[in-house]
Amino acid sequence: MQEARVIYNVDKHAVPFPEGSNELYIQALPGKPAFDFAEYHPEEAERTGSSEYSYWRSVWRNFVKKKSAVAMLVIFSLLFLFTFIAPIISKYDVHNLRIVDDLMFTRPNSTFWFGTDNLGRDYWSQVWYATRTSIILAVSVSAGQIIMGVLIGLVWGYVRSLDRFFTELYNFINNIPTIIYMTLIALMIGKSTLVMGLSMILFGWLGTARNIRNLVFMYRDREYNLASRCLGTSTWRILTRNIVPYLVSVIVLRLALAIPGTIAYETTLTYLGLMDISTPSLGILLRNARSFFLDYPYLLVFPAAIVSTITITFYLAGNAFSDACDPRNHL
Amino acid sequence: MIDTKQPILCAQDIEVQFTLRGQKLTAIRGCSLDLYDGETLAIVGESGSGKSVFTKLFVGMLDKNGEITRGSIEYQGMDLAKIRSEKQWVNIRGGKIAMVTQDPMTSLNPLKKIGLQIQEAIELHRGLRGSAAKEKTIQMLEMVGIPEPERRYHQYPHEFSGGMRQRVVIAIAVACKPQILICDEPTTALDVTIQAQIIELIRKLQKEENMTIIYITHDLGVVANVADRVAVMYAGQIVEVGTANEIFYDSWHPYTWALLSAMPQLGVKGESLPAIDGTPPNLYNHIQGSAFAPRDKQALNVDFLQDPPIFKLSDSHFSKTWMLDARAPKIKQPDAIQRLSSAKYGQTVANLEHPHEDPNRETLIEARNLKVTFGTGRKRFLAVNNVNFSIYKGETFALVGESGSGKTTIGRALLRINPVSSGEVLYKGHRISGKISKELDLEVIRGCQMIFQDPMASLNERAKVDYIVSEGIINHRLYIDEADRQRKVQEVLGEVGLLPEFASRFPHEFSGGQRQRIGIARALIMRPEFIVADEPISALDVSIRAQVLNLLNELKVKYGLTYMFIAHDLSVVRFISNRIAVIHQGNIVELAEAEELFAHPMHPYTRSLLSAVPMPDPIHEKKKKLLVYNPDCHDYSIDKPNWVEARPGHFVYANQRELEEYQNEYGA
Amino acid sequence: MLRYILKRFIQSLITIFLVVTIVFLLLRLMPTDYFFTEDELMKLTDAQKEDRLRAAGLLDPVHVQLGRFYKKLFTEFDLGTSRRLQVNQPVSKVIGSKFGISMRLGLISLGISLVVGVPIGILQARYKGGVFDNLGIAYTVFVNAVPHLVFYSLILTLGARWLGLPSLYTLRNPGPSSVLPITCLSLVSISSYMLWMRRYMVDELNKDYIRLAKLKGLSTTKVMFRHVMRNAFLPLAQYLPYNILLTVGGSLLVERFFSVPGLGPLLTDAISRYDTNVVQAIVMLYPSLGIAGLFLGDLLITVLDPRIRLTGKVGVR
Repeated sequence: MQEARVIYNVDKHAVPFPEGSNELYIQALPGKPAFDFAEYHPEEAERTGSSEYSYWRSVWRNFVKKKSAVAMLVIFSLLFLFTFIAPIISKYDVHNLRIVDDLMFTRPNSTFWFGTDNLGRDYWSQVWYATRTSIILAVSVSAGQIIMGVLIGLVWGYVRSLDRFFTELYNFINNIPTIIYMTLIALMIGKSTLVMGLSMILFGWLGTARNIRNLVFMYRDREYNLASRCLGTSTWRILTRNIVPYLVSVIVLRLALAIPGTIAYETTLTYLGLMDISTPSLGILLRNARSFFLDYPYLLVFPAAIVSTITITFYLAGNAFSDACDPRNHL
Repeated sequence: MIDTKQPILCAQDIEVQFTLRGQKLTAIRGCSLDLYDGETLAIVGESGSGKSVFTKLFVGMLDKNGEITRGSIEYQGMDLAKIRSEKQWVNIRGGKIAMVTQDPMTSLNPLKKIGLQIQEAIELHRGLRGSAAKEKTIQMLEMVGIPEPERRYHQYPHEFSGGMRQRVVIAIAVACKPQILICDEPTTALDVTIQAQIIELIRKLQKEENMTIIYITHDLGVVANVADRVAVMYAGQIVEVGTANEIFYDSWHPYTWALLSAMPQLGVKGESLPAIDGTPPNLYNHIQGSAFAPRDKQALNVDFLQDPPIFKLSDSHFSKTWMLDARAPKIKQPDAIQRLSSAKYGQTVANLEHPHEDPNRETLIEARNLKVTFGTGRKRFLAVNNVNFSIYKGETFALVGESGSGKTTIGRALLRINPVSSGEVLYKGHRISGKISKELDLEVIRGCQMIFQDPMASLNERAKVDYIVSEGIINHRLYIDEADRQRKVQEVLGEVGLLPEFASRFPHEFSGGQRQRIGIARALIMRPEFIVADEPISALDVSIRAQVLNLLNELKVKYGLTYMFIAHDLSVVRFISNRIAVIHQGNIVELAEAEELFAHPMHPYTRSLLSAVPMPDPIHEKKKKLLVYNPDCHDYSIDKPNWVEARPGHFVYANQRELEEYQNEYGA
Repeated sequence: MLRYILKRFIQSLITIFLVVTIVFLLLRLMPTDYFFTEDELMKLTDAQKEDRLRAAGLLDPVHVQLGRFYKKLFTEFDLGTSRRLQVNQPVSKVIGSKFGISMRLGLISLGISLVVGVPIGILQARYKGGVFDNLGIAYTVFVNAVPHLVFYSLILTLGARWLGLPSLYTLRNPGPSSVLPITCLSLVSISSYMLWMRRYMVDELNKDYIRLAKLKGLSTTKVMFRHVMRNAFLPLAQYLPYNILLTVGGSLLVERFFSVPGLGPLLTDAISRYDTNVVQAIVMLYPSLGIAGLFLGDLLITVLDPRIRLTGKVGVR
């Protein structure tokens, strides 16, 4: 071997190694001469590279970091709970509200906590009842849209031969503003909550389906799916085990954003007179308030505040979740 | 000679930390490096070794979550490690230190004319305006070897091929008139023949423009070609630095040895490669002692306790290993280094079997007039054109071609992933292309499996290793009960050298090499006879490649497997395969026994591929002559080409005249 | 690319044709009573009614009626007359009078939102993560999350109570009374231009070519101006014609909310009063506007993006 000499030691913090001694003085390895070969453990080499990273744990950690979204979610949960408590503590039953001319436009007071409306009916019981109706309607319609969208999107994206058909169907429905379909349906078939709810689902899956389809397209020919095909895995199994798990974040995001969308859409439809008005919903209260709120702002404030809380919650939570799901943000 | 010069850039004891997921990662752990005027310094290392991060510091392009925590970089009286303002960096970037980035496909603005993108740099740094700048731009285009520069000036990036785009990127960097040019893996995304041309161009420009070049790469073959001096990086440290000759012929760091020994070009065919076990260390953890020690079979006790000092071997050669301490046991350099320094590599073949030469050989797979087309109507595109070959039981059949040549398509067509447009595929004499019976389909699935290129993309991230590995046997219920399934999974994990507890983990916990072995286990559990290995090592780090090659060879012997090995690089397949087929634009142009092909290549395309193969041997590399294949050199207007057997077992795609030429040359 | 655009155009025409036909057939399913005005229904005898219907061809088989409808449409551009909303006025005139009002509001608000929204989006991307950017994000979140009805109510309250602006649109006083509707329309679309411009800018800024541009020695501001802005505007430009044409079509909610006699509320009015010819015309109008917008967008993008050419192969899309 060539003559070699130390020029400088990079590890300045290390304890200098005593010259001339071949025995290690560090307690960690007593009795092992420093310049003897160490035992070799191949398994140790195998272990050196593993990382601590877990996808869903990182998602969760990132999500919790978004304080505003978490706070809003807590507020929303309390609010939804309260819609069940409110009627119990209320003095008036929403189904038996009397029309009393003397009491119309009573401002909020100790008897009428949220005041009364233009017909003298208690506003508190109406607002909370409407909130519950709206939330339930929004969640079920949104869920319906997403389920339909995901199912169609999966088939659309994976089955090549059906791509053409669904694309044409999509273009066909998408070329016309939804409001035209809704108007036609409301006035020709009926405005009942069931019909309108179903119609919202029927015309509301498009965005999700297209989104899912594009993602499936992206994943379909990834090598791990080719590997599954090599192993003779059935299409159904590839979809459920290989593809859907990758779409979870998108599905949750779309659901979270569909809820405020549906609530807003419901208020719009109600406002345009395309919804049944026999069961109070937030849209109906907002519509009724339109004629009076310049003089009686509380008629607007209560439903508007609640509806905004709900929609902002889902909007923020959805976006926070989607950010948290992006692996690029897992820093 | 070098030490008389003053360094133009001098990095001292640099430490860089990143904050990732709330944890600190030390990417550079005390790096010192001098750069001398006019030299080409190659920094070689695996991914994660910190080579890119280190050089990004010189142009102030460190990612936002990274920070220089220690050290200095002296350059022209400034300390680059201290610069924070963008204004100062703008003065350095381009004009003083320029950079060529890795991926030419995304490095150019897609909406701006090529000419204007270069001209921008010229106007900024050469003080030229208007028509003078344009003229200079056209000169630059010509200088980087782009034909018809006046016309090309007005074109957009999408009208350029990958290699041409990289020439443009180089032109932009050179147009800035930099003193130092950093080339960050400039050829990694390119084909072998294009890579060789780009490297030639960089060398030419260095002379003409008198630049100092820092060349970052993971490929020792490329290093041998370009470098005057080489720095080897491992786990955020420079472990050895020296002139190219010192590093290749007389290195002393165990990691450098391991890297060189693991190269298939230097291996003995038929024997296993001296592979490096395991994977590079996790830089989140504190590293005690030498980072390479856990993977070093000859590590000393002291290696686990204390980071080695740097020893001086010559005025230019430094190595950071306890091996050079006077008290350390005296050991010899490994065989591969000795073969390299005595230029005795590549010819060594151990007792290799030649199944295809056996008269009783059994044909396992046969492709007859195979054609594959994609798309419909006008967009129809012929991916594979009339391909014929047989694969015999027990051999490794290599298919070599550049990207887009159709090699992967053929592999997938054999396994029924891609449909065949015409022609047929036979498996043990049964036609398996087109519509086949359920039983035969099942037999093909069980008998023929595939290993994929990208270990990052080929595993389902959302499933546990247990499911991934047993997917095949679950599909066809090839196990008795749950216990039997688990036993099978454990068994196959053991066979590919993974620990039993890995079954309950998710893929993201593993390194590339481990993931690739999971992929092999997934195929192996079906107990196949035939495996298509689609570039199984090209996405892996240099130190990991040998592990996987060895594993494939071991399994072949153990189970009598037959492989079709798809690759873009001839040097690797020479080591592993019995026969090699070379494919160019959907046509197989030549097929021969491996050594025969290397000794007597016939087709000009094969020759150009061979000439471009980078070898980890500076002397060889610096005198090699590049052959460029021009498809127009064939005159097939009257004399039509055919797939013919030019010599026994040596097939070539040629017409009658060419065939005679080839056969005449063979004798000479 | 030209082939692609043409193909899409023809497909869109087929879509419109199908929709119009389906709606036509649906409308024919309704009782013929709706042919008459309320007045006529009371005065006319059954025999008289049948004569009128026959004269109008409403008793002919459906396919004959459909044929006649298309013939009239293509030869005379005649969409029939309104029977209920404005008795015996040609449909084209009914729509035309409303169209002007919607267009005026729509174009003004679109102009405002482009001029305000796009630069804000660019600034947000330039100073990403700063106070200005966060304020902008808060605004877009607010506008996108809160139902428009609530948002409009808020603007109405502020405008009417504190600025004393008219809360309803009047034809006699179109200037001041259109301030609030225009504000509502603009504030909503400003937020969407901000959002998209910012997003496209950020996308571009993360691309490799920006790195190379910086490595040339360009400052961030120069990189923004010379490279990012145009590239980021491209995807926005593609949908610009579509947005213009749809804005011109009027907003149902805003026009209802401020009682603007524009195109928006016409559809519901026409359907609720069973004015079949008007319904038919509107059902044809909206998709046509949308499709024309997408078509123009495609043409625009082929001009702006060198990767997509009218001849030759389809580029990156």
